[in-house]
Amino acid sequence: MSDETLLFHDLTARLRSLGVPQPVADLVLAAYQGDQGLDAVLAGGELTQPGQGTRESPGVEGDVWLEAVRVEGFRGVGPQATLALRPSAGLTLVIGRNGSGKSSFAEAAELVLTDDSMRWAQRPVVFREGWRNLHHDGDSEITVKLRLDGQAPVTLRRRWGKDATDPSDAEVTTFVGRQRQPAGQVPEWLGRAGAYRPFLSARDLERVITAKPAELYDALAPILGLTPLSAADTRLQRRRKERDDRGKALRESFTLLRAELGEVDDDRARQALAALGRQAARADLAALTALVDGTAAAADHPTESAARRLLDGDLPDLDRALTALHEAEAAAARLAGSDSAAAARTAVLLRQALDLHSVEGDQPCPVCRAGWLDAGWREGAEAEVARLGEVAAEARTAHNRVSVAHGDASHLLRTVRRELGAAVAALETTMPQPAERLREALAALPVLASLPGTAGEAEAVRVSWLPVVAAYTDLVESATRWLVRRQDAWREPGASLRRWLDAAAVVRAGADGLARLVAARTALGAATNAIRAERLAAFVGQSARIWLRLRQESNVELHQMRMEGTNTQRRVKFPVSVDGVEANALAVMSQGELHALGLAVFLPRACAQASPYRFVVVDDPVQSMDPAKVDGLAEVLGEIAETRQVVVFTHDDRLPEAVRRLGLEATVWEVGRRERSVVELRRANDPADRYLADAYALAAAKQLPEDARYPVVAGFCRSALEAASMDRYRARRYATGESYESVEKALAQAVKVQQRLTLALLDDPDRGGDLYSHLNQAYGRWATDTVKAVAAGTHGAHDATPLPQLVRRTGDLLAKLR
Amino acid sequence: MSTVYLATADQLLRTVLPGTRGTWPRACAWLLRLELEAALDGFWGRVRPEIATATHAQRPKQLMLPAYTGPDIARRVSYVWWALSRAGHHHYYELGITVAELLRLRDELVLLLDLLQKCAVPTMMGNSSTVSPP
Repeated sequence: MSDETLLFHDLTARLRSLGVPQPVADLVLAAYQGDQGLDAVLAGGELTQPGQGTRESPGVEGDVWLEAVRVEGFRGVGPQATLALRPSAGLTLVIGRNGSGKSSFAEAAELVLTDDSMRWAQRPVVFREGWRNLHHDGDSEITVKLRLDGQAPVTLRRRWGKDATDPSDAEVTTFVGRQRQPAGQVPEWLGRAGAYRPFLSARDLERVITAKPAELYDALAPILGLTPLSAADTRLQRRRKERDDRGKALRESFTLLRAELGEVDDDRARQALAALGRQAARADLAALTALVDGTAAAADHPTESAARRLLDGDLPDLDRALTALHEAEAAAARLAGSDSAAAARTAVLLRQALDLHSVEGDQPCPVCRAGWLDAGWREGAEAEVARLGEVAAEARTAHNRVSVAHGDASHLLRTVRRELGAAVAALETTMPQPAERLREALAALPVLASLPGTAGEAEAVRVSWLPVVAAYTDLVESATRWLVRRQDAWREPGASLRRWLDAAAVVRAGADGLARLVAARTALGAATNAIRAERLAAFVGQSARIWLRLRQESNVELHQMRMEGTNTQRRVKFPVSVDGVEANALAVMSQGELHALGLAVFLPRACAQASPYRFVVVDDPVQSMDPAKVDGLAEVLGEIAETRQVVVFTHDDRLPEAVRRLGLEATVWEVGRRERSVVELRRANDPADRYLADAYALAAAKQLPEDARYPVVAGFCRSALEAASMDRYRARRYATGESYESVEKALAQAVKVQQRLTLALLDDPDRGGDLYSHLNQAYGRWATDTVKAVAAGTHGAHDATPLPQLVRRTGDLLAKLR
Repeated sequence: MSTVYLATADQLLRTVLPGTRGTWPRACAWLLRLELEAALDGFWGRVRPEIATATHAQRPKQLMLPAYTGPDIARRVSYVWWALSRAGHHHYYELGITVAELLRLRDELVLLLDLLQKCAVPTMMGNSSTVSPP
């Protein structure tokens, strides 16, 4: 399981134990997983379960060990020189006087691995120019060879042309195995060299003193491996800010909108203000939407609708009605001359006379008594009756026409009076003058008699109709102007209101999300604090242990180092007490103590479990340390070297001496520098040599009884042979790329000296039976005898070989084994 | 079972004796080393009397020690002896030992005295300090 998945599970468990509600916890976990997932969950989607995501990075599986650093033309090294290291756990000391060029190896490795050209670039000019070796004319090159457990070794090469002046101006090449990698394609774990910095130089240690609290925090943060949590927080924060900003913008525009509406003398504006209220969050959005859409009932609604009706409707064509009435009356008047009434009466008389004639027959006219009613008369009378009927019909038609026209006109007048009267009533407060004029004009309009017949009525109406038309036109114009003005006055505020409403709708919709985001950040913060405290505790324990060793006689006690705060408030605190009095570390510590504190703080980081680097390079750690601290440092380094490859560069022999006196295993390289920067490395003080030296010393101490010395000397000889065997076996196995664990496992299972020699010489633990014959063939019988004598001697047998001979032959065999 | 050396060293550590200004830390270290050597002689006298009387040279005897006390005590004895020797000798480039360091070494010494006292007479077991995997 990768670190990130572990952290994810840790976070999940924390959130649960903190009692974080599920929706909030989901949000936190989604934020941990990435932007996409977070947006999906915010939008109401489901949390992606881990494992489905693509976050699993193909991190380095094997551990990274340092195998060799080859330097040419860099710093103090002129012609090519190689520092070969055993790529496995253990302590290596590289000692050399000041100016011997030893630090050049440390700097070279650091430069290549951390790509810290920036740090070089920031140095003063004298340093910047000093990166090239003065005595070297050709190209400069640094090659760092790394061994990865169970994988092909990785070689990093940095090469500068002979004219290069800028350290960042290098040709960088990466090889995996022998395979040259495309430019820019480097293993992922290389990027983490910066975070864990498996390099500790005096400059690094000084950071405890010189760095700002936040920088120190950042320098230590990677050990906790909480970067994914802060990334998650950043994601949450960004989304919270987006929403917050929208909310803030809404509140700001709320104030502006209120001001804008306040300046508008419009009823809708007043209504809008009332609906907005005092707080943006409590505005009545529904009422406001109705206002914007125009569906709200405004107080000036009657006026508006009256005005609109006025504009929409036409004035009735009263003129035509009056003209029709007038013409009908004229036609009726023309008929009036022919006395149609008399015609009707004559027709009645003639019809009665015709009836009489029909019944009584021809006779003298009973009316005039002069005429004669006969057939001839009858004919004439019948024609007369028909004519008289026509005349009467015409008169009736004219009369009817007048009636209809009169009715029409009356109706129109009534309509006009009603409609315009209503308009006047509705508009008289808004536009009093034209309304009043129309009212007066209407009042002057005569009322038509209920029945037609009054001559000249139409004319009278027509005369007083003209002012009505004029007043009406005025009022229409006023109403139009008023409507336009009203429309204009609302256009801008209405648009502003609509925009605000749209924004408010977005904010309202996101309000839930915002609350969840805020809760999620709080929950994440709490979980982060808990996880950080737990992870830091382990680290702080290491620091405290290291400090305890380093401080030795110092009266300064380091209490729980703390990492506090977040964002700009983040810092590291070193509470200490001096003879029991609380104080700040940086204030009360001496230079040497601060140096030791730096080691105590940064060594655990370099050795963090999450770091892919199994090695740590320490440059000159004993500066300004007194002897007791050097002893403590040796103990600390020895302890770390049990599981790590520790490479220490030092300029004096106090550290190697302390290492030896404390009985710690260490490989020591001496660096010497001849003229013209020719740097030479010589292996000194090999463990096997040390055992052999002890054996020689004790073998020569003839004052002590031989039976007491023999097993001890034989023991030293055995240790020397075992050390050399293990070295040989390791070197061969590492070269094939076998992992550290499997090599050490094989060695641990071989407990007898013969078994270890078998591994070294025959490479197979099961070929123990062939060891002696192999020794006989390869070196001679004496070799077998020596091994036998050594093995037996440690168990008390001391008659086979004299002591001095045993030691001498062991030395010979050692030489063969190397 | 401490001797006069430790008592005198303690006196130097705790009180100001006239005429000892500047020299007492070294004197103290020397006394502590003598105390350790006395205890070692006592140990050898108990487990291998011939070794106790054979020589005053410390190195061979210390090389023998792991075989009789086990590697841990032997290493601690060796370190304390070396640290006290370093403090007791004059070095041009190193300042004298501090009181705090002396106290630390004294405390370790007292622990070792006790451990040596309790260390059983071993059956011969040879050099048990095999090379452990680093």
